[in-house]
Amino acid sequence: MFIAVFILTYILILSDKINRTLAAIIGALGIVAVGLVFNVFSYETALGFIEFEVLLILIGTFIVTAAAEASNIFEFAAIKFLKISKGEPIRLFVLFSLLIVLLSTILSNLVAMVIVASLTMVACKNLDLDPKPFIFSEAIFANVGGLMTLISSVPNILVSLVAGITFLEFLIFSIPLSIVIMVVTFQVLIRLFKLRKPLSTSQKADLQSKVEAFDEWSVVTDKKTFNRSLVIMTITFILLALSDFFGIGLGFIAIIGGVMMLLVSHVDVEKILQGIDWSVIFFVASLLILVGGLTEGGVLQSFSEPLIQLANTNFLVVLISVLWIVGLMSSVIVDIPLTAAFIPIVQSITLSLGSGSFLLWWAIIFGVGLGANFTPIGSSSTIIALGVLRKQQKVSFQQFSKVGIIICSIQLFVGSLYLIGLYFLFPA
Amino acid sequence: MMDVKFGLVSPQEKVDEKIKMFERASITGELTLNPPSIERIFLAIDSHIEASEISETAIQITVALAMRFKAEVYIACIAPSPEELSISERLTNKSVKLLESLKVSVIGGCSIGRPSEHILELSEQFNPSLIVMPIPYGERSETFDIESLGSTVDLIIRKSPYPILFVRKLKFNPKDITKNILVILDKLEHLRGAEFALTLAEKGSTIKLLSITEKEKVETAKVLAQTIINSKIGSGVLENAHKLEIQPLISVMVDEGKTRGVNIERTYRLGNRVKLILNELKHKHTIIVSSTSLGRDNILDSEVENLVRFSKIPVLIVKS
Repeated sequence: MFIAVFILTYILILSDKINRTLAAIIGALGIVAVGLVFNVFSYETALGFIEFEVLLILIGTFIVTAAAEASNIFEFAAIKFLKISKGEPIRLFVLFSLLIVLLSTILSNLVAMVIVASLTMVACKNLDLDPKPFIFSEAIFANVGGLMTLISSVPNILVSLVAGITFLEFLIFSIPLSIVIMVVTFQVLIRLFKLRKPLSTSQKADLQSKVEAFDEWSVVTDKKTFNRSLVIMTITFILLALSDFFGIGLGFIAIIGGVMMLLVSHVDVEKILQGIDWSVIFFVASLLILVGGLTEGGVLQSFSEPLIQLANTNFLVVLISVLWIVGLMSSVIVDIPLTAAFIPIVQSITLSLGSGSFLLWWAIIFGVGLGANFTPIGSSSTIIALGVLRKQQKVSFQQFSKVGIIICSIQLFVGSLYLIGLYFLFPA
Repeated sequence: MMDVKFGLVSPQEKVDEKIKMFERASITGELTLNPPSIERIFLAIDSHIEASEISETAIQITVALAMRFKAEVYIACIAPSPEELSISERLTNKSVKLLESLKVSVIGGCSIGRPSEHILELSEQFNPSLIVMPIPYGERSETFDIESLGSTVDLIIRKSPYPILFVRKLKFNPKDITKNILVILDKLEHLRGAEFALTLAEKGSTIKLLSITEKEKVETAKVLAQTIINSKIGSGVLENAHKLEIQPLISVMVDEGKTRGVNIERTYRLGNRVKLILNELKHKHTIIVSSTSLGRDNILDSEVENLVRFSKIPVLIVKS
């Protein structure tokens, strides 16, 4: 019965017949009803399935970034990056890709893409460059940015809180992989797009004068709010990184950051609160109930039994399989429900095998983060990127897929090597 | 981070909005003018000055502009205390009736509170093409916003992203406000002000473009060139460099003026900015247009704030 509700809910979510949040809420209600009717768990237990810490982190970080976004900090940074590039194509290519990594670490991939892709289109027009390589690269790197910190994506938050990964631990494990992936991806993309350096000194001077004409301060509407938002955002991220030392929950820090931002930055509180994507909050809460019910019902334990046996004999095969399966699935399935479905499976394996099997959590995180580039529909930011590009030139999904499949395979391969390296460092 | 929606705005609309923002942030290549339209006018009256003649003038100017541009009008009188509310209501009702009789679409309202805060909030709701505000000569405003440590006018100049027309008692018919426009145009960032002047100018109007190279800046540049790169650069070279910088903008304004039947005059000056601008105001100009980049001005006594304070003719501030 539990499995039937679970499968029906996922069919509803993935089919897009009704709103995905509504589908998840219906599923959550269904699973609670089944649990109560068959006396599997109590109502209080069902309420406990919701990880309120996840919701607090989501709400808190949303407020911080939404208020910072309102003061155009990120647009300011984008123009600064453009100027640092001096208009030279390869430098611009690398810097804009790094910029999207940085912005998608803090913002949603979608918002980061809107900002960077818009500036890319304007800059490329002024510099007389083809925006396609830049936009393609940004679409790919937006997903790499989602790997960087614990709060960079909802899957990261979900996995980390269930697995007990701290903010600092997350950075220690994810940053080295992110750096290697960025370096490899740059090398491949620059060769793939045949980007060249400007030929003469006069060409360089011409490009530089064109980017110097951009005025980063023109996007700042209130310098005081801008400075305050920047300070609060920085403080919040430092506190999040040091949360372990203080022994305070990430959700609490995120909410403190949000409240400080609302108090100090003089933004319209009502507008910021109304702008919170409550749909995501309800979606995540419902999925947590759904998965919690499934676990409590003992369904997933029996389902993951063969995997546990395989992991006992050959852990490395299971580890790399999880990375690739999650990676490939995330190119066609929305990342949050995919993560929510894999969490209890991995949880039962780690409970059975002990703490040494913690690398499986990283297999989910890396798989979800890196797999989205296989197809253009794998992430909303890629869809936006192609939409922006289509305003100026014809570009098909297949064109992106050709690049995406190459890059994604390389990235998942690098991810596999990284996990193998970690496996030998921390044997199960 | 999490998937964020943009309220009622679709991601594609958000992209268009950002592209416009970045295009405004760069003025390169071929300069094209894009004079804005005036669709909504917000007449904001701080009740300390509402009973004066200046408010009457502001209403007349609003009426003239609203009829010419077929714009909607929103009138708000802000009273700092309940005692002053009745005067605000009287004036608002009178203005609304006048505009309605002229078949201008109008909404009026009164509120009690800090004028700067209310004006900024209301303007955000109304999203006006132009804010009209009456102010007395020689004073920033009667109302000093204690909490924000600044006058109402200063705060609105600094925080509002919308063009604001500061109106004072006129010695000419308010209908003629756009007859003789003075535009301060000495850097490319002043483009928005020049564009707004074109919107305001009628056929036969005159727009005078005033470009100033500050003498002090030229002298400083000479000293810096000598000390840093050990090179002697004459004042003439630096002045010409400045002229060259703004030449494309002046040329495109002249061309656009010809198309619209507006006379474009050019004046180039070298010297002290404030003195030169004040001197220019002795001529028969009806309005002065100045651009400012919001958020970057000095907190105290920026040029724009002083211009609003001391100009005897209406001042239009356009954010670049």
